[in-house]
Amino acid sequence: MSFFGFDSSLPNQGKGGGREKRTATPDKPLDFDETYQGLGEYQNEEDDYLNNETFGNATDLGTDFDFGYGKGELSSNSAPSAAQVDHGRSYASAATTGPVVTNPGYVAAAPHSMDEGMDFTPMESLWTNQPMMMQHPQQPQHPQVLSMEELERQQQQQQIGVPHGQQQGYMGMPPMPPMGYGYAPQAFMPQAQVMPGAAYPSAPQGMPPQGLPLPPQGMPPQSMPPPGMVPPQYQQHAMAMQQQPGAHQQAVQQVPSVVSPLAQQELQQSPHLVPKAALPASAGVVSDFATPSPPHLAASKSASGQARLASPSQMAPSSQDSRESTPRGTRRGSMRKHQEPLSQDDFKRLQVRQAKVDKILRHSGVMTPRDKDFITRYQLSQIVTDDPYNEDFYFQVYKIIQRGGIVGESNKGLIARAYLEHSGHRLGGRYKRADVALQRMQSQVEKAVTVAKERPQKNRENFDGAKEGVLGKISSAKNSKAPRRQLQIPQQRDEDEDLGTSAIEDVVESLNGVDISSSSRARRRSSYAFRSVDQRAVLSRSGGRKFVLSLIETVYAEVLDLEALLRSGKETDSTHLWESLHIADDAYEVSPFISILSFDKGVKIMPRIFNFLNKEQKLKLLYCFFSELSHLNIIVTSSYKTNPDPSDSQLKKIELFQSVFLKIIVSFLSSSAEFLEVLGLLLALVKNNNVSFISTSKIGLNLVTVLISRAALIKQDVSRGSVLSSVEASSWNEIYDKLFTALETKLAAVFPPEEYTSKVVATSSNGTPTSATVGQSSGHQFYDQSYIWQFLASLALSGKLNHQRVIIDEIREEIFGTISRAEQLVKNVPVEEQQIALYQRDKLYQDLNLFLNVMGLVARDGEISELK
Amino acid sequence: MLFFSFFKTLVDQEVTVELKNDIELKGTLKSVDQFLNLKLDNISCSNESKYPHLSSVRNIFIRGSTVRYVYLNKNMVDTNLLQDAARREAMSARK
Amino acid sequence: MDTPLDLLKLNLDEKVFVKLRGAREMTGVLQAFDSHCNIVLSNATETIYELVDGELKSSTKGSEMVFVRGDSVTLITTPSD
Repeated sequence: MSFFGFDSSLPNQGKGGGREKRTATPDKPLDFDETYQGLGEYQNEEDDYLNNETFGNATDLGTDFDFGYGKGELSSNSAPSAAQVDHGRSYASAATTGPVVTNPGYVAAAPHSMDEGMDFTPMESLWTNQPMMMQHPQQPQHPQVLSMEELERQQQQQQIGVPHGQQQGYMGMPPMPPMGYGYAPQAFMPQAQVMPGAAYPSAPQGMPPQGLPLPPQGMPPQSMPPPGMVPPQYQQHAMAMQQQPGAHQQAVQQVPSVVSPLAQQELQQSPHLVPKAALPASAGVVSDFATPSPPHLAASKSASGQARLASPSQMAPSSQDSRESTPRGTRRGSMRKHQEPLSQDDFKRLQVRQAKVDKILRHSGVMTPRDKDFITRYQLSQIVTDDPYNEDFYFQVYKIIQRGGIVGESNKGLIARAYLEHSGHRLGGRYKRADVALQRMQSQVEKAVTVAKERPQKNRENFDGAKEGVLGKISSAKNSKAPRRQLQIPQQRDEDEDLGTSAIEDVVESLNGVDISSSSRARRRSSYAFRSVDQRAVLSRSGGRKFVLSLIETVYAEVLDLEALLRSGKETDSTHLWESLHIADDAYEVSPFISILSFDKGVKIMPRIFNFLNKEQKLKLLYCFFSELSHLNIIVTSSYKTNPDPSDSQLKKIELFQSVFLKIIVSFLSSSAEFLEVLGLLLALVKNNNVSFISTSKIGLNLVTVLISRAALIKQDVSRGSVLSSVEASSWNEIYDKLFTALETKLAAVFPPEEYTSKVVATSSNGTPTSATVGQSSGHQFYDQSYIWQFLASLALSGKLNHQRVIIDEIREEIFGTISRAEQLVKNVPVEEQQIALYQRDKLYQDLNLFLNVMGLVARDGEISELK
Repeated sequence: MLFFSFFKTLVDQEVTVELKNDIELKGTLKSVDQFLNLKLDNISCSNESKYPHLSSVRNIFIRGSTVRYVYLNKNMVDTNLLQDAARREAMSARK
Repeated sequence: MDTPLDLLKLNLDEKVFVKLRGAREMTGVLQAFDSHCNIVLSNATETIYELVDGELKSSTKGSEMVFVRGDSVTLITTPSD
């Protein structure tokens, strides 16, 4: 054979030849010239001139490639041994037309399709790893070959002119599954080609069948019969099989007539079965004949096929088609019911079924169960990993989220089911064994997973020393886990200001473990609003934009790691996470943590962080937060003083902060905070910030409200049993006083001016609606002032009478302004807008009364009266 | 495997693919592989001037390397999750 | 040690400016990326520059969510504003 221009016409090519030569002349220096001959000469392939040699120059390719059993798989003689190789032929034709045919007449017997003339069975010599075996059969082969040739000639005379259309040989014989299967090669000696049909199925019998019983049914014995005996043996077998009760009646009848054509057919060059319909008579019968053997074993796979096959074979108008097409399962010896008259519809249905069965069975038995198992496991190993979250994070978590957070069927189960459905495997009976198949698939998945688990570990072993360059280890001075600080700011050590009364001192001390260094205290006290307006300045005072962003990413990495640990049920350690937040970091003017909160993604990660922090850490975090409130980007953004014209994106940011961060503060305070701790936080806020400025921002005001109302709630908590201690009570009074003093005379400033509110409404209506505005329809939004009244309400609630009087004094105009606005709304309003106006008016009253009720008053219909 | 994972969640959604040769096609994403090759079913025209007028063709396979953009809707994507997935990918690529 | 892609990670959820082959630019919020520079942007605007009769013209196209294949990407940075 020659391929790619390899000229094999020279003697002593190939293994056997080479070896012979070498052993023959041990003294002579090894001369490889001859083996290299021709190899270098064909380097440049131009003009496709080697194509014919590569691909063969058969006439027609044909379009119908039958990959099932072609006809005559039993027939044909030995595979070409080395000695018999026809060097003049193309590889393709040699590969297909196994045995050597020095009969040009046959090959040239046009016009048949390439398939017909070709025996696609691979050369046995290529696949067996026992080249020695080759020597053996040669002798017995010779007589056989001759006789075959003889028969061939006979066949030629008789057969030319018979349409070969259906002789679709193919590569039907994958008789040599990879040696890895421990396939007994001796079961497969070259002349197995003679009866691939018999040989092949016998081989799997030699292997442990996986759950598929293979009743031999008079099959040729497992060990290879002596080659020369094969054809006659087979004939006998074939005949025997035909005579089985389960066989087709018609086939049985034809048995006698079949014998002679069988002999011819058997030895054909294209040893393939063609289970298809419309075969010419003799050929058809032979194929029919031939099919018993493989189908016997293959049919076990499609157990259901049997039943189905049995009935079609009953079909009255059993043309040879139907007969041929019901090869495999039928001969299992099942007692077939005798034919009943079938209706037209039934018949059609049966035909359809028959066609389907055909399709399936044509290729059944090609792979052994072990093969299929192997392939399945291999495919699964590509899909499966031991940790799906590793490779496939987005998809896995997305699925879970979509399902509502329930981790349902295990990943392996799902894979097993999906694979099963997708590949159409039945792996068993059609109806009954579905769950068995699923279980089997699941076990496959498990196996694949364990394989996959070992895979990365193998790789990791290689990587341990990976950070070594050729000349030694590669090290880096800077580690991202502990970034070198860019700037060292000299710390100022100011004198501590007198904290005032001892009660407050107690409060401060009672905040366990929460200590702020005096220097930072000094620093933060000076943090008044207007230094923080320029956000870029704030960022630079906390390390720079890049630094803060990298901090955020480090935090995210920690959170993701912790969440992964949580998912696998392991314990989580928040130390790294805490450190990454840089809360206790004094090196910067502004705590980097505060700058983290100026980014949306920093805010978004907060609830997840809180998941992992302990109470002490949370307290420290909040203390830092309240202390440096004025530096917070969100405060500046949400204050009408520093941002009188907020953009849509800014409003969105405010909304995000409100919904995310405020929520976790509230839930933390309500669940875990002690009275004194709440007071401590409030104190931090008051001491370190310009409270009035804070109160001009919606977020700021909300924060203050939260703290005050929580303190009030705890104070009034009857179920608490004990009353507040004197320390607690006096502390509370003091802190309240401080707060009030800071706000006094500026209370009216908590109300944003008209210009501001209308701008917010306009921006919201055009952009994204937020909770900043309310309204029945998007076209009729108005600024929601409820948060302001809530603040005033909580302030009034915790205050004494004189406090309340001051409050009312200062916001008197706002109170009456609100009432009059409410009344104006419903006057002279067209009918369509009446409902909207009413809604707004009611809302205004509702909010106002939040405050007034605390004072024992209520506003109604334009008047204020006492609350009864 | 991040974007493979990403596209897997988009199966059965209608997307618009713009190829490097300026062809633009709208269709239902049926399949994706590790090379981000795509299979779209039920092709239709999204941009008249960029449509190749494959009137008879309904289902196509697109080689991943020929894609320039894939246009999606916001609701098809969980942005927070996607960002986290990208962080994880970057972390594991680093290791 | 910060690799370039590590720096890109810092810009997740931030607005980025991407330059692509064929005189195209894109800005949008970076949602995802990988080592091939495949990226997903949200609220993206694509600008295509063309020479029309010797004049430089640009056209824009907006998309709420877009996947950009990495082999077209030449540059990723933060926008100038």
